[in-house]
Amino acid sequence: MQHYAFDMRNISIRYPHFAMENLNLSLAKGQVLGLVGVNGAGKSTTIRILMGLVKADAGQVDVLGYQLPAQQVQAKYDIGFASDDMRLYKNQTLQWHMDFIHSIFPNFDHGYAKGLLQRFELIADQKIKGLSHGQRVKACLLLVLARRPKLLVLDEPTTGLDPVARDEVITELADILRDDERSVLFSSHNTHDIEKLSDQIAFLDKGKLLALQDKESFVQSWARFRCQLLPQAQDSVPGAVSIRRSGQLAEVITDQSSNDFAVALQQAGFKVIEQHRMSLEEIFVANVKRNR
Amino acid sequence: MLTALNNTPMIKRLIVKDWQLMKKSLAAYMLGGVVIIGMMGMATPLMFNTGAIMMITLMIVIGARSAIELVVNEKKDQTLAFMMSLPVTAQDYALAKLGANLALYLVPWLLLVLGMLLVIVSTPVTNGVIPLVVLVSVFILLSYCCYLATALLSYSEGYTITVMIMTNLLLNGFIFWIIRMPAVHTTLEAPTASWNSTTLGLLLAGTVLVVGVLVLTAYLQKRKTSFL
Repeated sequence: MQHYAFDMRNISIRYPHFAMENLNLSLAKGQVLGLVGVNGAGKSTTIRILMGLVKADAGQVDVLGYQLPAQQVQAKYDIGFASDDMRLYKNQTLQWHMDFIHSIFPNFDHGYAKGLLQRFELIADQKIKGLSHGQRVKACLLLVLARRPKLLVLDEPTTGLDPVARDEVITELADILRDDERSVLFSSHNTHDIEKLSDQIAFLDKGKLLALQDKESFVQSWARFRCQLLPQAQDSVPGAVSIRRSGQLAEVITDQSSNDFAVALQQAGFKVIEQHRMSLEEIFVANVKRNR
Repeated sequence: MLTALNNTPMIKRLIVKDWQLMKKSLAAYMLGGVVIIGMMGMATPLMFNTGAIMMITLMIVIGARSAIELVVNEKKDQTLAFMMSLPVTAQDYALAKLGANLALYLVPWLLLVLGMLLVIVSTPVTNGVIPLVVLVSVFILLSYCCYLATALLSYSEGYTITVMIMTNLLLNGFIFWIIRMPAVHTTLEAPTASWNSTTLGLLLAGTVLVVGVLVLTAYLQKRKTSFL
């Protein structure tokens, strides 16, 4: 019984200005994994390796029980892929694209596609060149979703969208993903989008996986403390990710937030004034800074 | 290559897709071809020569449009990512592109060449020009294969256009060179087509080069490890 939607083991790839070394990343079936990273972090490379579009220099990729890139043809029948740099044929209509996809994927669900057309407020007979960027993204998602793939891979689908269109896409996507038991890999540099959709979150930077946890664990384990420095304040505190001093005050960030850490702060000469939960974006930035 | 052969239905589907995308343009070009053949059929030196120049231009335009539209623009317009999300490998895709482009070029090329030959044999135009017409047509086909290969291997508009310009320049040189060859020049006015060892040798060399360029393209495409 295959428990993973995908499993990437010891993936390494080297380009002239980018290297990925021993990346291990997996996704349990039915889960939504958000892949967060700045531009150039390696998100698209990871996804291209996962789709069999790029062959890694080393490592193994298993997607839905298929070895990639060797078995990518079989695997792709069950993978739905959409990316920000994906475009449809501008002189053809959305209906033409739906018919084209249906001719390849017999499971293409016309009823579901019709529902998505209404939900996304798209017109099937409209040519792609007449669509806005937001509508084009929705059209791509429609074509992918109506195939009902077992694994959905979305590479920065909301990039370049205005805030309203982005919110519409994310809201619709969140609804759709709730309806189904699909495994989803969703990459973005926008942590708000990731937060709304993901069960698990992975941080990627410069080709390295910095962290991989479920969303709640991230939010619960990371915290920021504003402290007053006592005369006996030490230089470091066990469990602190960063300490920023400013006169008699200090801001301490930890990834081990608990009562024990508050006690450790006190013992190290840091009097806690206030404690804040951190947003996913702040956690991501702190993670990247710690590892650079 | 074995994977590609196993995925024949998808390759065929991609070829049909390209045919659908190009069919209107192709119909317009063929209509132009009919008009040009009609001009050549008037069989006056002025109309025949003007028609021949227009026919060469048309053949180049059909090839250029197909290589740019179906290969280079697929990357430029970012539809390549959409295609590669389908159950195909890079090799399947390249084979489909090769097949689609060849079909979309060879069919009109063949029809135009046959149309010209029909005009020549059925009008007072001397049949002696047949080897010249065939050899120039094969050179144009070879040129097309060269810039199609460039497009498929590089997906670069710049490189593809450079090869197009170079092959077009070479075409002028080729026509000039071949017309001055005694084996061709002396038989142009002959009432029948005269295939001799020189013209047959050139035809064979052109055909071998066409096949060689296509096989080399398929081989180099197969060695690629990264796509997109």
